[in-house]
Order: sequence, then C-alpha cells, then structure tokens
Amino acid sequence: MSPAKRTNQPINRRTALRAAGLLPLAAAASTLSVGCSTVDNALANAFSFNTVRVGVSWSGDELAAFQQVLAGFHADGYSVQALPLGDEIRTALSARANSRPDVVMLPAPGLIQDNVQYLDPLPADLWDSGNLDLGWRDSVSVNGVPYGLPFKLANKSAVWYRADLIDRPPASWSEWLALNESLIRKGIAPLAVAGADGWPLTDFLSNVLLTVSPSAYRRLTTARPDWSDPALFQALRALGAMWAAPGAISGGADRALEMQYPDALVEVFGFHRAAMVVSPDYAEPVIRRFHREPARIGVFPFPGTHGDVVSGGDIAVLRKPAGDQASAFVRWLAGAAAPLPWINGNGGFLAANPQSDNDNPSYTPDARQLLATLRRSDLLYIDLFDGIGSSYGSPLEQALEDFLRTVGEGGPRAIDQAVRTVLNTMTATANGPGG
Amino acid sequence: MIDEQAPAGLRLEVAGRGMAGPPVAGAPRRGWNRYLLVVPAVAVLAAVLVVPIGITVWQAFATGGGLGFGNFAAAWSRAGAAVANSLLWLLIALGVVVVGFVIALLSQRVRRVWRPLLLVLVIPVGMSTMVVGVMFRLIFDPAPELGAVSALAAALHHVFGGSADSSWLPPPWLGPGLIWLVLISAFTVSWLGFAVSLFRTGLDGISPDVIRVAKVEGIGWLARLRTIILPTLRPVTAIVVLTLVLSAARLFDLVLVVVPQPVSGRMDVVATRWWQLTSAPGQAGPAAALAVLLYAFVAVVALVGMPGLRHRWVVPERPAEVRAPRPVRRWRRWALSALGVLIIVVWAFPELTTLATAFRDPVDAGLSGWWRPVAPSLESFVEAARAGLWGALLDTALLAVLATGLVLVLAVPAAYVLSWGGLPRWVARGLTVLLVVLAVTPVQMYAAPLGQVFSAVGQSGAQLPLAVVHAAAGLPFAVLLLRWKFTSVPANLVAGATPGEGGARAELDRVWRQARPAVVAVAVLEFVQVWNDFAIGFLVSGTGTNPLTLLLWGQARQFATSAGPVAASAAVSSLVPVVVLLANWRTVVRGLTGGALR
Repeated sequence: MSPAKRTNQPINRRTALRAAGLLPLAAAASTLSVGCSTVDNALANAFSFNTVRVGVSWSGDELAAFQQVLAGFHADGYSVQALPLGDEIRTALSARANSRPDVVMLPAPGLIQDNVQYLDPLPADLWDSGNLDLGWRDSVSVNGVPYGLPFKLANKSAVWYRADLIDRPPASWSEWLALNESLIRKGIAPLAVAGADGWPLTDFLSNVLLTVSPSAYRRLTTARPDWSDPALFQALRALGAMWAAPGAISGGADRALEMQYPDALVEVFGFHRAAMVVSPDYAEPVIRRFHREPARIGVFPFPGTHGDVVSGGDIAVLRKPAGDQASAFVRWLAGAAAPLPWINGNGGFLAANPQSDNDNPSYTPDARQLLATLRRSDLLYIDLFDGIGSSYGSPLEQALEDFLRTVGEGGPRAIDQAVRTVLNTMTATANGPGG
Repeated sequence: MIDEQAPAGLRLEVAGRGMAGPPVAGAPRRGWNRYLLVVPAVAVLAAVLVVPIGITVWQAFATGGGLGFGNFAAAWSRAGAAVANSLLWLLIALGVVVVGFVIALLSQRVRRVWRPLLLVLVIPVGMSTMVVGVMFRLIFDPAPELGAVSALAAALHHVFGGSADSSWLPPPWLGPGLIWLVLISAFTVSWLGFAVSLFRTGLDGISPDVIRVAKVEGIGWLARLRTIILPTLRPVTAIVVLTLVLSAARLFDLVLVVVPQPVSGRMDVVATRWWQLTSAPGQAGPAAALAVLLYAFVAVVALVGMPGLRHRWVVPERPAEVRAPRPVRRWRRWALSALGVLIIVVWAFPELTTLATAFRDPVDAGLSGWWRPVAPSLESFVEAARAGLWGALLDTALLAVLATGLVLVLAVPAAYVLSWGGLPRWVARGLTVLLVVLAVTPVQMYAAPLGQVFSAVGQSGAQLPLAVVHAAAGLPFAVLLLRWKFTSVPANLVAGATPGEGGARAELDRVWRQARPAVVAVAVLEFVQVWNDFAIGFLVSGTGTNPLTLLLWGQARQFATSAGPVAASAAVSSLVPVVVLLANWRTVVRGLTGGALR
C-alpha cells in the first residue's frame, strides 16, 4: 500500500461546473420520480421485469464471457442482466443518461470521484473481509468510504511480439529503438499501431511517460493536469521519434488510423506484416485465436518501465439508491469463484480478487507473468485516458491521432511541431469552456 | 324487377333511377361522438411528440436570464461543420433521386431484366442502415486479405502497376476523403431501389397514347420530358424527394457504424453531433437549439413539398396493356440489358459478400475474404447467438409487432374522422398541415425529454413504452397516407357504406378494397421501420432495450475479428424485414403512390 496512489481529487472547477450544469436536471428528474412513485410501482410491475441491470463497457467475446459469469449467479426472485453500454459507460451514471443500470462496471477509478453524488457506498464489510486486493482501496474510496469493487484488472504495460522474429526482447527504450531499426532493415515493420481506436494511443503514451518519469505520471493523474510538464514534452518526443522512423509502423500512419485494436493484433500474428504490438493482457485470447504459423507468440514488459505497470480496471459501483438485490450481486461478484467462468473459458482476465487466480491452471504462462508483474507493482498508475479525468481523455485521444498522422507523414522533422500542437491543444482544453 | 302478382299479359317494370350526374354524397346524421375516435391518437401524439417538442423548443430558447438566441449561436459554433456536412448529404440525396429517375426511364426499355433488377434494388430498402453500413465495412475493409475492394485494387495494381511490390497497400478507404465514397455508396444502395421503383410505377401510369400523340406532333424527347413526364410525376417525385431528403437530414447510424474514430470529427453530421452534445455536460441548451434548427429545416422542406403531394391528375385506372413496339435498335437494347445486369451484379455484391462471410468460421472470416475457399461453417451464427442474437431478434420482433398494431389501431379511426368525419374544410386542412409537420419531426426533438421521463420512472429498458414512442413517431405519416387514400375513394361508395343504410356491408367491403393498399402500406412500412430502427430506440431508451441494430453496433466495434458473427447477425436481422417488404412491395408502392396510380 502506498500513500501516493490516486487520492481524492479536490473539487476543481471542472467538477463544480459539471455539477452546477446537472443540478437543475437532477432536481427535475428527482421531482418527477417522487411524483410518479406510485405510477412508477404500477408501471414497474406492468412493464419491467424484476432485474438487476449491470452496465458494462464490454462487447464481443468479452461480453459473452461476462454473460458466462452472470450465468453462475443464482438468486431467488430476480435475475441479473448485462447492459452493454460501450463508450456510453462513462456517462451512464449521470442524470442525463437514459439507461439507468443498477450496477455499473466503471472502466476507471477516477469516474467514482466524478460521479460520487449518484453512488451508494459498498456494503461496509465488503472491503474488510480481507479477500480483496487492498492496493486498490484508496483509489476506489471517497473520503475513506469505499464505493467501488475492482472486478477485472488490466496490465497495459505489455508488448506482444513474434518470438520467431525477435530473439531477445528489448529491456530499455534505446534497445527497443535499435531493435526496430534492425527489423526495418530486414524489411519488417516493427510496430502495428491501432490508431482507429484512440485508447491504444493513450496507452502507448502512458507507458512512455512512465519510463520517462513516474513522478510526473502521478502528478498528471492526481491533480489537475499540468500540460506544460517537461516530462510530457520528453515523452511525446520519444514517442514521436519511434513512430516517425520510416517504415516503423505497418502500413504507415494512414493505415494505422484505420486499424482498430483487434486489427493491429491480426496485423502482427495473422497477416505477418508487423513484429510487435503494444496491447494489454486481455489481447491474449484474440491473439491466440487469430495467430497463424509461423508466428510464435511472446510478450515482454514495456521496455524501461522497471517493474512499474500502467494498469486499468473495471470497477463495480452501486447506483443510488442501491437495492438489496444489487448489493447482494456485488457481494457475490467480490467472491473468488465469480470470475472463474471467464478465466477458464475465454481467458484474458486478470482477477482483482487474488484468491481467484491462486494457481489457477487456466492462466497461460504469459498471463501469469503479466499478472505477477501487476501484483508486484508497488504503485498504481491508471492509464492516462482514464487517469486524467473524463473531460481530458477524448481530447487527448484525438490529439494523439493527429500526432500520429503528422509524424507519420512528416517524418522526424515534424516531431517538435507535432509535440507542441498536442500540448497546446490539451492546454486549450484545460482552459476552454468544456474544461 | 317483375311483379309476379300482376295480371297475365301485363308486365310491370320498375326502373331504378339512372346514375346520371354526379352522385351527391349525403351527409349522414352522426353524433359528435365520432370525434371520440381521434382521442387516443391525439393523446398519444400530444404526450409523446407535442409536449416533448415544446420542452425542447423552450430549452433551445432559454438562456441564463430569459429567452434568447444564445444557444443557437453556441450550437452554430459547436456544430457548424456538422451542419455543412448534412447540407452536403442533402445534395447527395438529390443526386440519388436523379440517378433513380434515369434508371427508371431506362428500365422501361429492358423488360426482361426489369424484374430481377427491381428485386435486387429493393432488397436493401428493407435492411437497416446499420446492416448496410456493416456490409460496406466488409467490402471496403482496408486489409487486402479481407476487403474485396481492397483485394481488387491490389490485384489491379499488381497487373497494371507492373511492380511485384508486395508491400503495396490499397488506398485508405476509411481515411479522410475516401470514407465519403464508402458512405455515399452505402446510402445510395439503401435508397436507390425506393426511388427507381416509385418512379417506374409513376412512369407506367402515364398513358402511352399521350406519349405517342406527342411524338406524332413532333415534340422532342427533352420537351416531352419537360411538358408531360415530369409534371405527371410530380406527386411521385414529391414523395421520393421528401423521403430521401429526410433520411439524409436524419443520417445517424450509417455514420456511427462506418466512420472510424480518427475521422469522425470531419464526418460529423447534425444527428451525430447532437448526440455528442447531449452526452457532454452542460450542453443541453445548444443541443436543443441544434435539434430545433434541424426540425425547422425539414419542416420547411416538407411544407414546400406538400402541394406536390396533393396534386391530382387523371389517368386511366389501368394503362393500355397493348404497347406499340418501340423502335429500339438492337445494339442499344443489348447495351441497356448489359447495364441492367451490371447494376444487378454490383447491387447484389454487398449482400452476397455478407452471406458468404456469415457462413465462414469466425477465424476464417477474420483472416481471409470470402473468395478464399474454406469449408462452410455455422460457427459464426453460433457465436452471434452467444452474443445474444436470438434474444435481440425476439425483442425486436415484439417491438415491431407492438408498434405496428398500435399505429393501425390509432391511425385508422383518426384518418377516418379526418376524411369523412364532416370536419369543416379549414379544420381538416389545418390538421393536415400539422400532421405533415409532425411526420417529419426528427427524433432529436423529443428524445432527450422522453429519455429523462423514461429513466425517472425506471422504464428505459421496457418494450411497451418504447413501442408507444415508435407508434407516435409513425402515426402522423400513417394518418396522412390513410387519409390521402380514404379521400380518394369515391364519395358515393362512402355514403353507401355509412352504417344504417341497406347493404352497408357490401359497400364497406368495396371501400376496404379501395383503401386496403394504404393500410397494408402503413403496416408494412411501420413494421420495417421499427424493426430496422436504431436512432429512436437508442436515443430515447438508451441501450436497455435490446434491438438487433444495437447488437450489430456493439459487435462492429471490433470489426475485423468479429467479421463472421457480424455478418451472421446482419443476415439474420435482415431476413424478416426484407421478406415482409418484398412480399408486399407492390401493395406498398400502390399505397404510397396514391389513388391516381394503379
């Protein structure tokens, strides 16, 4: 446990403004719901089934895996239904949202602070039972009260690579650059970059920033972000240098910007057009599924992170007012057995409850290695997209997409200007009306 | 009639009054209670459309200190680019109308190719935009291993480019610029069949004699087009233009499913921008203003087009079957047939691609295109089923049936009163205008207030309330169409059918026979529209209700690796609406083109 984990943000202007903007609506909605409580009951019986609705961001295989998890839950008198919200999950709790889940799997602990007025605390004894990964307790608590239950963790400091092309994984940033150069000389693109989804780009930058300065990383994610931090400048320059090298990115920036996260995995292991892809642990099932000979699958920790890990997590929270059924469901979710169908079936799941993974034979050696690094990691570094607050995440994604295009097309000479553009854009976001 | 009691030799005959002169429609005595028939429709329209529209308008004009245009200025500064894109889409829609008209003209020359051509053109009309978007994502996949167009480009490059450069990559179809090509192709495929089919029906309604006379009098081709064909087609043109302009203005799902995030900012249209604004904090005012701008625009278009719809003209019930042989040169007929076959092949291509992909194993579908032979597999369907395909199918079917039933129950009595209820002329006229304005209401005008009410009462995921919203959204158009058809039934039939008169039953049957196409058209269109809807369900009810389009959207988020299941879901979800629409297509067209056409 460390005191420096993401602590409670002081209420800043952004939060205050947002709260002010939502207040009348929240008031209107609550008046309506009070006024309609009788009608509500009648309607609920007539139209809505007795269901606990769980908002999740997962889709595809991951959603199917979560359905398997839910199939293991049995309760009298009600059922649990997954509500796939996709990117909407970030706004699922606000008064304006219209899909009102009872439980939400928030993709970032920072969202707890942002939405605390819509949340009920977890059952008091849940965190005291001693089964949970206590490293997360502070980051899911507000004023010492835990609001969130980490369910699935993610190790985002992983580079999946073709072991048949690369003998010795790089251990430092400079070794990595040298490796890229030698691959380019052999006519192989070192990297596949999933630029069509923004988050792989922010994850990439998160890792580079972590190698440059862990303390700057914490500053950026614990207080109001200061975009003039020299460490950011340095990280973006390093990132630009890697991306701008001619031939470094498979298909060039244009192609990278059409490539979604699974496309980049297939680009490496299915189409054999690239050698490496920076992707979280949960890429593993996709890679194993779509990999073709002669590619061999390997994974190494992001070079230069020295055991630190950029991490993510899906955290269950209870919408206010939490019913007994929803609370009971979250309590069940905290148990060691709940995620087993996902771990044993689909894979690509690092359990937040350490007891879920004790010697579970379903974990591949790669997954076990990533999990071990994650558990060993002293401090919590939430990926930048989720760590810097929801109003900065999307602008940063867009800025990095433009950055990728600029350095991909302009080459090394365009880096300095591109870095300044990113930082200026983010500063403007911070000062702008939306900030 | 012979009186049998009459003395022998004398035959008494009673002759009925000859039907000379225009029959005078009697005004049967009916109480005020017939107006009760419209109460349900009015109540639903008021609750679901009018009141939320009012709230949105108020939100748009409400500023911090009172009423003003502050939100409009803010909307313009945040959505100017999206508005510009939407205007571009309107031009594209008009382009599709023109192309549809030309194809309809040419199609008259190719009788043998016409039927399969019509079939192929109409199939995509029954599909959701989401499905069409998915089909085009499939064929334009940037990886040459997966996308047919990319593979074709690579092959052409290989043959004509000369170099055997294996690192050559196809142009970025999903990048800025070329993404327009993908979107426009998808939009055209969605709507061209509708335009062609309606224009063709209109053209067939023009008596060949009129054309022949004009030809004999030496009126040239262009002049015939200007003086005879286009004026006669005015009502059809009005319907086609209105439908396409509205769908271009409302464009939402297609952009959402096709455009990748890095270019989404440049490809924003009004509907997508509105959606982003509503999920951003503190932007409710500008979002409402944007919705009002959109509404004002489509309402003006609709009101301008309305006189065109009311236009009446006289053509024979059934145009002459005997056609003079057209002196078409053989080579020209061959060229036209070849063009028809080409269109058939191009049009069927996305659907065939989707089907072929659906029957591949998910891993095969994610690694190679359909032209690489593999053993057919049902695994993609199995995986789609695991993702909830059958549940979504059931929910969608339930929703579509509920909404269709509601629309019929509400619309038929309302249209009856509006047509024959003896309303003062100005009242009926005013109501019609009101209905036209309501019929084109964009979902953005009522989604936000309704969504909040739904979630406040905990009904966001429930089917019945959403079905009511769908019914309300489809109701104005349904009433208009039915009224249009009802009023074109000859008045003496109606008078005869009024209860209390003798033989009402038989007369009612005749009225029904006349009005049936419109009722069927209303039912079929509502069913298909609700089945294929994404925007209304998503924006009003969130992701709680579980329609097929939402499932597809979720799957399409990881497109390449779920190509197989996505294609399987697309195929399954299109089956029902396409079959329903095709089975009733002639009736629908007859219903849509009004009483004057056959």
